Amino acid sequence: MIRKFFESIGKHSDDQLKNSHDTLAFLGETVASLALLLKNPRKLRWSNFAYYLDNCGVLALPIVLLICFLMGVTIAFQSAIQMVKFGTEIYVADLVGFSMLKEFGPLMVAIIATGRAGSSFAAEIGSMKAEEEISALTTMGISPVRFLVVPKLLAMIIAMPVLTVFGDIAGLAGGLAVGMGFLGLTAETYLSRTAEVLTPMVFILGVFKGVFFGAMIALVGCREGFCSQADSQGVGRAATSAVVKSILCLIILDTILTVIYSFWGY
Amino acid sequence: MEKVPALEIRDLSIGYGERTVLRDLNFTVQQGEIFAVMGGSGCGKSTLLKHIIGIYPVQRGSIKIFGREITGGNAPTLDEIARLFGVTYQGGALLGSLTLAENVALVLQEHTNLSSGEIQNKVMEKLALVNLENFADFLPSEISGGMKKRAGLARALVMEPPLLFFDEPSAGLDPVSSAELDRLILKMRDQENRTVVLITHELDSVFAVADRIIMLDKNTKTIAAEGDPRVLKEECPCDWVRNFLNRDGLIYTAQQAGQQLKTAF
Repeated sequence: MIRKFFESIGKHSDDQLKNSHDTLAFLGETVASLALLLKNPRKLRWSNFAYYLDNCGVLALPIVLLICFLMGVTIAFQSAIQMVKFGTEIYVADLVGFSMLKEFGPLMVAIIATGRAGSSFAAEIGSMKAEEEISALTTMGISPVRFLVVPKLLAMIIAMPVLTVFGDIAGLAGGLAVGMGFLGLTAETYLSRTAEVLTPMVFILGVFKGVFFGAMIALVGCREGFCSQADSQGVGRAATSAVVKSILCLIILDTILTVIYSFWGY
Repeated sequence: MEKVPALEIRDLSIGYGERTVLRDLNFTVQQGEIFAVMGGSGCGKSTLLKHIIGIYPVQRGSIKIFGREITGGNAPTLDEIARLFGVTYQGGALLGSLTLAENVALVLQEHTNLSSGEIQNKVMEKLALVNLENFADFLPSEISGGMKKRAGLARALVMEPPLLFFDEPSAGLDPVSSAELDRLILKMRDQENRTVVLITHELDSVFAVADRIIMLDKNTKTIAAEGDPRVLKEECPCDWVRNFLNRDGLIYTAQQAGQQLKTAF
């Protein structure tokens, strides 16, 4: 009994070590592929890059705008309930502005991107593995990481900050709608208060989170795809796992970035 | 001077993790041969192929392709792989987002400095070789299984590798398509001087094209017989190999099943 217990711990540790080793190898190959592309940009499949930029960026825009607008509305309503009691409705602009630009804008956009792009990356690579397309790439002498991961990674790194800008604007618009529609504030009052309290740096740092979030979503999604079992159930599990792990990693990364920003005074 | 073997396997043991699927394999494929790896379902034929082409690391032993050791720390570079051998997979393994022409062109774009016009010519030449020149702009999802395999062959050929691996070339094909693929395999050897290794259990194909075979045994996890399939069919000392090659096992099982049905009704 005791022996079995220790055996299972040993096996689990061994599996985790192997998994960590494989993940590091994956990251290393990704970095090496990026370095190769810096030297020779022709090696990037630009058509794939454009496809993912369109798919993960442009096509995600409507849902990002809608969700972030509603997020702005919700934050404004929740804060207004308290602010009205003290006659400080104008501070709704502060609350909506700070929470959208610093936290909810980048995070909501990242969560939407995880659901759309992260899961689809995992499913795409997983089904390619099941169809032996990954093996075929290897035997054609083409690095699957360079061919499949790098276009997705670059597209996400570019798309996410841009989507975050639009998400921020939509969130602020949500707050403005509540301010004007329910709190009796004029657009000029609300916007001038927003401009007064929000510095450009707050906006830039929030948008910059999108770069890290985009990279994280692409890497986790692709890695889960490569790790999936080569069958239809395996592909489904990889897509689910990509979403769960991405969200966990996003929250951890967001916490780290928030702590670092707070040390800088933001 | 004797030619270097196209493929040389010595004391090879393969498997996944600690589980050994096949062990102590020794065989040689000479240049210009059509060689088949045979055995029943689940005996490890495809696993052997995946290890030979470097998808998985071997547990022990040596694999040499044209004298070039490819196991352990001697793994070939990606560029070397593309020039050493080509592989056609069971389902074609074409990239679904690319047309047939783009699939074939991909390897050339990656490994050569040919102009786009030269690549286009080469792609059409290879597609014509497998009778798919009129389907160049089709996506893999728009063509049949047999056509996918032929497109996979065109892609495997485009870098002019001297060694070709076919994983279950006839699986899932109708007899006419299967015979067409057999003719292509013979053409690869007779007109293009390539060495061909087939992973298959299709007896018709093997007797039609293979010079030599090895039979893998699921129980002993190693090679049960090696030689000319036509000779092994008559003279192999191993009963189950002879039965397999004569389909005796199959006929016996079918007869037994028929008898049982008669008794039941």
